[in-house]
Amino acid sequence: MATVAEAPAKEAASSVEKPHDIPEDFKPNILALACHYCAFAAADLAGVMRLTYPTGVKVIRMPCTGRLDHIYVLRAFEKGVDGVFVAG
Amino acid sequence: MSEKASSNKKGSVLIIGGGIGGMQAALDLADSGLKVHLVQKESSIGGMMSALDKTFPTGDCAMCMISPKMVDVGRHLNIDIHSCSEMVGLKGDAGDFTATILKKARYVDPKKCTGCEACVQKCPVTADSEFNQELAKRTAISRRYAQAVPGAVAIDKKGVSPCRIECPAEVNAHAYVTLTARGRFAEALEVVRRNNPFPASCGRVCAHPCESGCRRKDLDDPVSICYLKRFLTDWEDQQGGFKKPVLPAEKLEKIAVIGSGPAGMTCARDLALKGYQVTVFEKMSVAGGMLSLAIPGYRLPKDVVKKEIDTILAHDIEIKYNQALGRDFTVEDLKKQGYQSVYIAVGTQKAIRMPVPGDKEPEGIYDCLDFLRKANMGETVTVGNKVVVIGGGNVAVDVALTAKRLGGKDVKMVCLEKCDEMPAHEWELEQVREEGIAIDNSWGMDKLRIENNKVTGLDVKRCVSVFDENKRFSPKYDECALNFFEADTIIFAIGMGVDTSFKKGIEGLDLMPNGRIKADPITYQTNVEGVFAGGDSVSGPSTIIQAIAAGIQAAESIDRFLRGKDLVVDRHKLTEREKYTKDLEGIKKSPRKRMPMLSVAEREGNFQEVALGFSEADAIEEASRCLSCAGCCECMMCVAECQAKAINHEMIAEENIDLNIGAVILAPGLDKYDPKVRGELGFGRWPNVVTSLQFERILSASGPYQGVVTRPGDKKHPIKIAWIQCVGSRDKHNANPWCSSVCCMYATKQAVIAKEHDKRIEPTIFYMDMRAYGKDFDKYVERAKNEYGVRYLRTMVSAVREEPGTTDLNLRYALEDGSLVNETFDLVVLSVGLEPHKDAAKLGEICGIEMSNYLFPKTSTFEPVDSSRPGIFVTGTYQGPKDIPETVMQGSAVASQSMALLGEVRWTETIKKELPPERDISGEEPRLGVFVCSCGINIAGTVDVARVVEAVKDIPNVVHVENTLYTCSQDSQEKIKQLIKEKGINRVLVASCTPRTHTPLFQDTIREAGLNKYLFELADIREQCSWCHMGQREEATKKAIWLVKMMIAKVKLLQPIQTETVGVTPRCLVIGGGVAGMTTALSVADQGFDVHIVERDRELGGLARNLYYTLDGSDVQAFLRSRITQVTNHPRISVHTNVEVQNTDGFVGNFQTVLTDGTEIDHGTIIITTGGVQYQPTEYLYNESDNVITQHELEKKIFDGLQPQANERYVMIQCVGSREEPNQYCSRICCQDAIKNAIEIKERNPKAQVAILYRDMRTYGLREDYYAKARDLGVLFVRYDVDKKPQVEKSGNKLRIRTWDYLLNKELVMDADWVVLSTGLRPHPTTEKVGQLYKVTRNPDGYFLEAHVKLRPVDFPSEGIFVSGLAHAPKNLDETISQALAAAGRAGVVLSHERLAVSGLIAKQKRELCMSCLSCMRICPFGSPYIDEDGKVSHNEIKCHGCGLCAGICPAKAFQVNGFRDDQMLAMIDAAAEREEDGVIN
Repeated sequence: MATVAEAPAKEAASSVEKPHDIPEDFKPNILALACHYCAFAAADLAGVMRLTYPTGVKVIRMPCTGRLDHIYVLRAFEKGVDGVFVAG
Repeated sequence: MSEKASSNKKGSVLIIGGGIGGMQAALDLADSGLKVHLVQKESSIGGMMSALDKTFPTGDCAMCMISPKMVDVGRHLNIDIHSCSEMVGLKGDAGDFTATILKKARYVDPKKCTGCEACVQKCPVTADSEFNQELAKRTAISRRYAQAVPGAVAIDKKGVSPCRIECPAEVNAHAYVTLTARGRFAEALEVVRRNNPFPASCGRVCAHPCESGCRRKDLDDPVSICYLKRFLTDWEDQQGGFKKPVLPAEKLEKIAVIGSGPAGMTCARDLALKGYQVTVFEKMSVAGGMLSLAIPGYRLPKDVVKKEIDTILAHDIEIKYNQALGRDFTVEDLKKQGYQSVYIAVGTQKAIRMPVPGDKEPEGIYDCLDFLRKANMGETVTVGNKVVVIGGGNVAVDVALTAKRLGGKDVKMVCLEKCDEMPAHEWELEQVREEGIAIDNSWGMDKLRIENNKVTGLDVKRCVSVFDENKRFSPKYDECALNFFEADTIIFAIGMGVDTSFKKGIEGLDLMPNGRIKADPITYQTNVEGVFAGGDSVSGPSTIIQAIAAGIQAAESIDRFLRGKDLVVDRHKLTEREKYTKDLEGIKKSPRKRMPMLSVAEREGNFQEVALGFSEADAIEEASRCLSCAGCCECMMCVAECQAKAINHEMIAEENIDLNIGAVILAPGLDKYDPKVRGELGFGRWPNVVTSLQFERILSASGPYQGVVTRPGDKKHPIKIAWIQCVGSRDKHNANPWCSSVCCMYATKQAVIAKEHDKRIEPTIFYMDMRAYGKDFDKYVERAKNEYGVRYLRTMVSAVREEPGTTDLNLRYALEDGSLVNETFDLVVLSVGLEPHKDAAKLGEICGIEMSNYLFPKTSTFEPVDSSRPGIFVTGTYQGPKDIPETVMQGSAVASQSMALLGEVRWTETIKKELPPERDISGEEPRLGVFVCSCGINIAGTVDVARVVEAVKDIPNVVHVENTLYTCSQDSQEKIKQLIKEKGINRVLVASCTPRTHTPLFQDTIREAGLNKYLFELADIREQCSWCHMGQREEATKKAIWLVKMMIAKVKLLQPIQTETVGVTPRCLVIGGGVAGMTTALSVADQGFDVHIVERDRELGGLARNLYYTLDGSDVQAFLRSRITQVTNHPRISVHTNVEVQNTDGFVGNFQTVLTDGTEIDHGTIIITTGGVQYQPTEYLYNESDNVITQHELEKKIFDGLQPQANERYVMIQCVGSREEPNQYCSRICCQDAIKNAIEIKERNPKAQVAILYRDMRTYGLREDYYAKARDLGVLFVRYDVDKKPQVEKSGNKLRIRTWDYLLNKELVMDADWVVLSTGLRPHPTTEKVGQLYKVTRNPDGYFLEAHVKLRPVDFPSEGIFVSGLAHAPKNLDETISQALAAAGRAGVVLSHERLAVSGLIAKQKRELCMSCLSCMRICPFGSPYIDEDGKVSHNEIKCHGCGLCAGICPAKAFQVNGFRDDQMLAMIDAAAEREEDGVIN
């Protein structure tokens, strides 16, 4: 543990990928993990009220955001999803 | 249960009102085996709570809380919702009532309506949205709000608009005017043409009785309905003219129509539309009758008539010109030619004129018809210089104006009638005057003067009266008053008759003496078989619209005649329906658009059309003046739009049904006070003064401004907002004397939430007393003050005025020191109180229950939910003003009372679905059936559903994909069932709307087809795709494909879930034997279950043993004695005194408890009623002087016969031990105890002096009366602040009190004989221990914390354990009793089941993976993981709610949630990550 903590910050940073430039027409693929009772219901209400948001946002229903496992978020990024939005 | 009903009792309950209280009662009752009929006046349930934004003191979203409850009620197998209904009669006795319910038509079949709202998009009628408190509009066909249950739309149809009812042809003016106002001209014209094939002609010359009916005429001027029709045809011409309609392919019989006037042509067209082959025979060489021949071109251009005739003829109608009946052919000839029926509409072609002396026709004399025909046909008509037109009707006007155009220099009209009697329309006479034509009234013709065969003038005599007393035409003359009019042209326009020359062509036709044809007034049948007649030839000269009406009726008759139907039956007339007269209050005047006209100079010498027509903008503006009187305009656009065929405008408007029930629960709720009564506050006058309920809608995300705090006046964001409290409450002059109980808190909440929405907002609350008396309310107010900066000003606002030149508001108020202040605010919210709605008294009368003076049902402290009539229970705000949790409590309380009454007939009227055995799919490959719903056009309008089907059809395991119009419709459901069987489908995915409402429906469907119901999923491509990506077809289709693919990935992994059941021990344990415990025990026992009461004291009674009388004078000790006797004598109740609970094991339905005396009890539920204790004061010299006592000690003295002396001084100090740290809560009972004792002292000796030192007098609800009474009796009230508390010191043998008086602004010194301390309540010391025993949490003050402060006020998060009484929070005796009954009701729901079903969507534990790290035990809110006998963690699935917290935290992945397993979630995530094209970032 101690070695990690003492590793020079600069070196650690260099191993990380450089941030990409974001093209203008970028349409992110975003996953929303939403609680059945509140956030999912809110997404439904948005539709009922004909409110609009980018089509790249797709909602996955969960019984409660308590169900969220960090693996889901990691898996989404690993598979190339551009953003994860947890709402509950 | 197994006990069979031996009595006549009915196992069903009627609930009036589907607000939160009614719904709670319905769910409790239906869940406990009683059938429920829920009657709701509106089209949907939800009550007042559904309109609220957030709730206090937790700030939860009201809709999020109530919506799942509504869904539960809506789909409960044993709750029947009777919407749009009212109770109108009630007979019978407790256990066996018959209620008569008046059901009003919804005009939509809720079974067929899918709630897609396609109709709403089409509806042209708008009205103020009641749900949005008039801040937004709704359509006539609408759903009250997005989440409404039932979800079916309803039509607001109040009757028939007056414009429609006046039109003889029943042309739907309301509909086409409304459509015109929306710019929907083609549809508007379609509506006109339904009943009027002459829109262009009628749009110019119709007598427009519709305008005489128009409600707007009572305000300013009628809508210019007539000219709007003309506009529509002008517009059509610009668009390329009329398009030939599609006529029925199959042709019916041949029919001859004689005469091509409006009657004949209308009849011909209507018959052609039905498929008949129609030939019109016309005597003249042009068609149109009077339209062509008699009406001058400057009013109705001839090319317009021609176009109109051509339009009608385009309906495949043949016309034969120059064919006169009796001259050229006979009816007999027609029959021979195969005509099956004949319609005679030859009109009145003979003008009446005065006999001319001599045989020779002198020059210069015309009759009107001849004159006009010649002029119209372009023949030469010579008109002299001096023209006299005889007649005062519309034809005379036409003649006079025509004569003027033909060169008549001096044209004069001479008529019998006086000016105001003339038959010509006022607007026609206006033109006469405009064009300089003189009218000489009250002259009768005497004789014509003829010289040299030329007319030279007319002798006239004075007509003194035209009509007799019966208003019949019977002119009387003054033969001595004579006059002479010189003239070289005289034109008679004094009437027309039938030219009966046609008679030769039809044998045996009966005529009337005046030559008109005799025909039935309804069917227009003549005495000759198959021959019908109408128009002027039957009625005499009349209007075009009358002729059109006659033509319509004849066509109907001819069709019936030829189809062999009865000619009279079911010929509905609009006039048989109720006319609706709209209230004009609050409607602004707006002037009628004037039709642009040719100037008088431009009219001279030509026949150019005078009226120039409306522009598009003018037409829309004029049409928008329509008030939309009767709600729905019956344009029928919705009918065409509804692909589910759910709309039926023909539904019977009202019908009565009888319901046989065992008990009645009245929960109709309250109305809100109308603040217009208090004009000084400016509501209804200043646009930025709103009611609190309007402000709720303003705050609501689904409200008119989508949650952005906006003021209605100018849509700006307000910064300074003022709340004015007690509008309509605590005011016996303008409103209600009582306190509405909720306004202080909701105003505080609104201020806080507004601030959360927009940090810039500066809220101020103007109030009298801050009544934050409920659980955790004081803390909330403190937070509002300290954390949110809400400014509280203890003063009342005397007036609200708009600042001139702005829409800001100036408030005038006095500060406590008396100085007057004017302050400007951007928005003013009136905290309007609650009051019984206008039907409250009527409902009481129907039920035969006693009502109080304030129109609340009479109830008592000890029986707070019982009405005066057995078997009828009252609840919620109908019983008295209260907030949501108390309403919910009473909902469960009345359920409990009903269960106690009807316990033995449970399960006798409920239904249970019989289902086929489940198919075993183990070992089968997944075989998916995918149904992509169009939802009418809701989805298909945006998403290309065919492409979605195409995109997923080749995915492995998908064996069937299809697109369905409405997947939720009955036929689609049947199809799904059939396909499951045919194709061996074992998992079903529907891509349609939200799973939140539709999953249970489809689950039932697949279960009926033998599949486990958990083998189903919904992909939401409506709410979360088509509706939020409208107009983006490509993108939305891609997203829909994506969503379906994600769900397919999950569905492949679905597994059947077997749900288990556990047995229930039908016995209840009650901990605590006070009033709450005893009440709850009695109610549970009355329901038919055994009860054990455990009381740690030696005797029952609890804190109430120290109470003697209540505020309303009821005897507490007598009540207590009787309750103890009831409990101890009840065969089902066992009382254990002097013991406590040692420990309890088990779970809902199966608890085992051991008492300290060793007794073991098995039971299914637990009710905790451990009560509270009185605070023992240490302040104010309590322990140092015998004359410092508590209220309870005083009460005992009074009870023991205390006789106060004259001038004896009692000073009471409130809030002792309450509302300050560390006890920052209100004990709720002390204000009333002080008032109660003060009144008692004053009544015993008015000369005794009582002063009450208080912080806020919290005599909420109806208790306010006693506060007023105490003031009237001379009790002195002095307010103090917590930072300037009163000082008590000894002064000789008296006590001296010093306190700051805020009104006098100086210290007040009082000497007193007695200082009485109003001490607060504390939770009972055992609370902590009991809390630990049952792992139930307590709030910081030590009171038990319920599962949900609003909707589950007597439940604990752990199932099967309930709470009531002072253990929950300080409360009054009646509130304790209500809550105790509620706990009994909730317990009854559990105990009434032999077995309880465990939910399928729960966490499953793989015990072999578990390392017993205890993470799950720490995080589970329901206590379902436990340490088993092996010392390892096990999982009690009965307690599990399936939230998945355990699964999220478990490092070993030992927990998985059914339906949300990791493999399923990851499959969806993987599918979501798959992109059609590569990501843009490489």
